Amino acid sequence: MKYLKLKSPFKLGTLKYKHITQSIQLSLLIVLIASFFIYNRAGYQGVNILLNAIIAIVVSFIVEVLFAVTAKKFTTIKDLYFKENLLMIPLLTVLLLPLHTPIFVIIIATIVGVWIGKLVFGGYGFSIFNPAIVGVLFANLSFKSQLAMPDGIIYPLQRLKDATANLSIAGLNPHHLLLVDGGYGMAIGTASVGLLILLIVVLSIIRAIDWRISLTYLVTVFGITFVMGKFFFAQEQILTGLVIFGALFLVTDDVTSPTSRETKIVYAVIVGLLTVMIRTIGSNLEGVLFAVLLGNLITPFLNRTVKRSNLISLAKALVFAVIVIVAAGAALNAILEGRIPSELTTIMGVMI
Amino acid sequence: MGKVINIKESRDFLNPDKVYIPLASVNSKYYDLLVYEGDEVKLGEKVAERFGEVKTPIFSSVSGEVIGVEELEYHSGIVVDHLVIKNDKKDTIHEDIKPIEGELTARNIQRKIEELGIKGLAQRGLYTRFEFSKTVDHLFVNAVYQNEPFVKVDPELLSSYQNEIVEGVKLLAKASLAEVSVLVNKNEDDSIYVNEGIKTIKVNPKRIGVWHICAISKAVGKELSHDLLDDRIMFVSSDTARAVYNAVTKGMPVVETDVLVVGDALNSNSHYNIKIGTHVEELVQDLGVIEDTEEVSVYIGSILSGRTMQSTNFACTEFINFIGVDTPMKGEPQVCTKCGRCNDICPVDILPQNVMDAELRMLDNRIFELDVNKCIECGLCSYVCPSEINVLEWVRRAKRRIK
Ligand code: SF4
Ligand code: SF4
Repeated sequence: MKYLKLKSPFKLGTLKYKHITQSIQLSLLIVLIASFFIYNRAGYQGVNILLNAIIAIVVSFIVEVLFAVTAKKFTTIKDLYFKENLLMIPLLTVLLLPLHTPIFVIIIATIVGVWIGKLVFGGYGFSIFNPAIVGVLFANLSFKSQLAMPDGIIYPLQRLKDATANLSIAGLNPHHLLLVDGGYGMAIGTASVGLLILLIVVLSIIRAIDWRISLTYLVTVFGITFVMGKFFFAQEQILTGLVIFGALFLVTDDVTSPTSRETKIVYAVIVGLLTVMIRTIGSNLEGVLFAVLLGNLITPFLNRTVKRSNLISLAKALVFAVIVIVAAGAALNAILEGRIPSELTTIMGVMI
Repeated sequence: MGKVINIKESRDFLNPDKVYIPLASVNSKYYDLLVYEGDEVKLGEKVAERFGEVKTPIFSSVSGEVIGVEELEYHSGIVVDHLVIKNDKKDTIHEDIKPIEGELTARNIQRKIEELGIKGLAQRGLYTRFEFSKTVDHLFVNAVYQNEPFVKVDPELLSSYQNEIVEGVKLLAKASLAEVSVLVNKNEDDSIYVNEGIKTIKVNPKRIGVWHICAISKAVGKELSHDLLDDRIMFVSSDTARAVYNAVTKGMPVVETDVLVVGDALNSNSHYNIKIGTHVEELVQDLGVIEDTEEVSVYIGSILSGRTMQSTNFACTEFINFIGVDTPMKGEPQVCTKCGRCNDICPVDILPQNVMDAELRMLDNRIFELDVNKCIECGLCSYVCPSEINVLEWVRRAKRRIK
């Protein structure tokens, strides 16, 4: 019998790394398959979604293997799946791009995401920016015309944007905004808001995502838009576009979000604020991706500012959240109602 | 949390052939031996004096013949001299053993406690020493078993000491002149204390590893310092209360104690009543190691923050109340996903992940800023980490860096 000297603790908690990565990859798959059915029922080419996903997965696999070979560290497929989160980036990329995305755009977005977003930083766990967002934004910026919406179709987000300009919600169809019919084309993953909300709840309960980030983010977006333009307006802002999808998969990403309770709250509030600002006074239709990317950018800074994680700093973070929500809501309302000189608005618009 | 180990069996192991009594301790290697090889000693006889800040008397836990001095592991990796006494199994009590004469005043009790060396009966972790020279406002006695909620001991097994503990707590209240409260498990009956007018605090051991800190911090209404004595708090185990009772009413030093021997490498798990100095190998043999076990790890103390021992070649002391003999866990650490679970769980509100990060980048100022010395080494951060990183080890390294 041999005696081994180990370091304490001698028992470990039951929640394991691979449970977390697996449940997130599984939820991405669920969302993908649900989108396939929803799009099919709505009369679109739902098969494209599955095809895109398979291509993206294969591409990401090839990139990972090539990188492993050049870096001379060999891994097994099991390791790639469990440790490197093989499915996460390709599936997120597919879910964040529209249905009519050409295949070469998917391939390029995946390569950029996996290679530049993740591998050059050292693999899963080391990235600074959410890799999938890097790839998708790259595609969005470089292939604007290919990704533009087909003529004649006005997507809810566009209508929402138009409505935001004069804070009127007339002409918006609330049922349409629930997006259970796949009528929203900017990102496949947003096909069913109901499913996404359900997944947020389930993943929070099994502790695969941090509910505090999700909730703070949703509350911030809702709160600011509520102060801006009452309940119905806020409801539409939340249900349209990537907000709920982001609250499930993007802001909560462990690697690129801060590590302590307080900074997580501050982070979610900042991302929420940026989301609303880009949507209302920025030039883009959707603000979530840029907002999360900017949030990722300040994460290391946030991590450096915090010293202790006690009730006082928690209270500070919450006060910060409330002040930001109320002040930002009031300011944006003033801008949209034209109570602020247009020069100032232009400058701010340019800045964002 | 995994499977709870239920201990339903208690064995007496009060007649070992030999006992090995440690003569030195971690803090002081020097001692003065008062007996010679071949001498006859009696139960409770003072056999040596350990030097240190104060002299600590060492007593024989059996009656019999002194065989000699032998080196054994005392604390993780530290080898010290042990006095070996051959037990004649008669337990003849030494004539000096007598209770306090006269009135039980605070000063008398304090003197007896010091005389019998119970002053030093402090364990690693949050427990404090007895320090009667300092003013103490609160005295907490911990009656929750160590390693709750991983290991559950049938209260029946412990009921025989209950009265001794209650009396001990009352004596402590008298001696310390402080407000005394007993921490009890929320699921267990506390009437035995309440009937005697002792204040109890119900704690929920489900809050793995942090229940005592939460309870004490709540009771005194402030954040705790690293050394509770600085907050004018004394925190002792119920074993100590029992020792005080035996010291005051019988004049008996600590010669017996109880220990749990638990582990998945053993045929069964048991609670033991033992003599101080019982060799652990004998207890392990008594329970039997599962056949074909190739590797085991032996540790003492808390499951979350205890110490590993080189082998089972060491003796039980009053400081050890848990011995684990496990087949080692398999599992390799993954990368830190910065999930923040370790930061959330830390009971003293520091940020172990950030400490680890700063330590990796060797940022001394940042480590200092993060108050790393507040860490009580409870091991919870390593316990919760889904990536199986030993976060506590990094925190320890950071502590060493800024020492
Ligand atoms: S840093 Fe880890 S070991 Fe230290 S007190 Fe916090 S949780 Fe416990
Ligand atoms: S719990 Fe583990 S993986 Fe999570 S932040 Fe702490 S060290 Fe990193």
